Amino acid sequence: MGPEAAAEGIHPGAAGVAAILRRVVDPEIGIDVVRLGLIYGIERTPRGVRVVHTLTTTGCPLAEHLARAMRVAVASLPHVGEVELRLVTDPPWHPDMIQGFLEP
Amino acid sequence: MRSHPITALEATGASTAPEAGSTGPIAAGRPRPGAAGPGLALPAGHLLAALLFYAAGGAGLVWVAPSLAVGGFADPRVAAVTHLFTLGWLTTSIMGALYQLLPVALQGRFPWPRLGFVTLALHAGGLAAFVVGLTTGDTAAVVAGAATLGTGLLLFAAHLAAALRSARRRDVTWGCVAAADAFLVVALSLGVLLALNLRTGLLGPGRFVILALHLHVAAAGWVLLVIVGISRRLLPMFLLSHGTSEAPGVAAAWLIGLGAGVLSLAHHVLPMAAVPAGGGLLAAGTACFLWQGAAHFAARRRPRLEPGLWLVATALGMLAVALVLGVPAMLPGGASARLETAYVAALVVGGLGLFVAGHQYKILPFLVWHHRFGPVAGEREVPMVGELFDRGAAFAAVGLQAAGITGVVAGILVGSARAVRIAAGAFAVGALLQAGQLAGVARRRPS
Repeated sequence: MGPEAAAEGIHPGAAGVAAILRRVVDPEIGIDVVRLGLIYGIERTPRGVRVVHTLTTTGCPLAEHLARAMRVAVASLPHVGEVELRLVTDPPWHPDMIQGFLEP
Repeated sequence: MRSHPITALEATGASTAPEAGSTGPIAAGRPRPGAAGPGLALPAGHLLAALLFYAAGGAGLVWVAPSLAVGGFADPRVAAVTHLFTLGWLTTSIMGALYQLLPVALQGRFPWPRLGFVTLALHAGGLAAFVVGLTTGDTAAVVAGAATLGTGLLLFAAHLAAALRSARRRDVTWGCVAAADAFLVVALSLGVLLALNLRTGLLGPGRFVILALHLHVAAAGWVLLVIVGISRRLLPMFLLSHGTSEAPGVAAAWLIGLGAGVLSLAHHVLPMAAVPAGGGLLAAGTACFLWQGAAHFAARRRPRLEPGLWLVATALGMLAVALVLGVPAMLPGGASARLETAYVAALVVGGLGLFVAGHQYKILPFLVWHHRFGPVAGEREVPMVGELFDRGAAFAAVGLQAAGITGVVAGILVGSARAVRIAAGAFAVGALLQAGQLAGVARRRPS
């Protein structure tokens, strides 16, 4: 999906991107990246979409797998255009960023 | 609750560079599996070899139960079983874990990965000969085994030192592992002295003091110090207890390091009167570590504990028991042989052994997932890390190990060989179950 196609169709928007990112689950914690609070922002760019995200731990060995799974998930949306992932560590992730309570 | 800024479009004040390749096309090639570590074979090979020694150690506990019940800690067969736990289970597990964790946690690298396989062969082979020699009374095998495993340990210590030298991150964890590396060499030197004493009797009546120094420099200076250092990184991650004060853990690192240092110098440099001071520092450091561990568990965001974390919690409890049992041994006049034997069992098998067993339930499945399932995540359905083994069987293994070692320690204290043997049997079944489960995990691949 290139930028031209993105311009022609209806962009899924931040809500659509967030919804699809809920399918990406941290394999160690067992919670999706949105509920886990790893997604700091979803931005529209001229060529597609940028997902600003963090990791639970700096240097997390799962980083490459999570990034890849997020990229594949977002790219599966129609008319999304180019997918850019931006990893940030400021502010650092904290368990208080988890939405709601964990399963007992 | 939907307060998280998932739909926020503003920038976040990013201070780091974008992830490598993050702006590439969607159909970008796969990331190189295990790019952040040495590959699966080296750490997993160590962890699996350690599990073999663990299962053998569990069976050994059943075998030496009568000696344990009369406080026979100096019995060569008890010494053989003890080394199955200390060198076979604890040290081999730590080696494997460091091969994986050090590059990630400290941003260093082991410069000669193939040397890791050589040191494993020397270590495991030498230990097997050493244990057989002790159990059969063949002192030549004991000395040959000690020399072989000692060579392996020295090479590993040098390899670890090189990796630490290359580390870009030098924090408390780095200090703990670096100090532990030095104490490994000290413990090895004292062990070789004890092995030579078996053949020559050169230590005379002083051999029990050397034995105590050897045990504590190895258990606290090497194993516990690594545990303290690595726990700083792993426990918050496993328990989701980020933000917990690290002050008790830092104090534990300093106190244990100082205590092991005093004990290391006690034989040749310091007066023997320094030994109780060294023991006191170790006890204070262990108490601080227990405080740190309890703080992480209290602050955890994960209400439901996984099997591995139950083992870690049990291990902290057994470490507290060891602390209580160990204090009388430091008092003038010492303690009874049974109390000292119960103390060593609580410390080595209950405290340190279960702590490592708990982490094996986390680390090995994670390694297998990272190297085999991670590269296909997003393309097809993959299990969670915790789904790589059966939870019910894991909880059974945890319960058997926890109840088993508790019963062993209690049985030794009351002097009941029957109780020790039954409890050791339960522990052995639990250890075997865990070893079998994790060996099964190591074979898992994406369908």
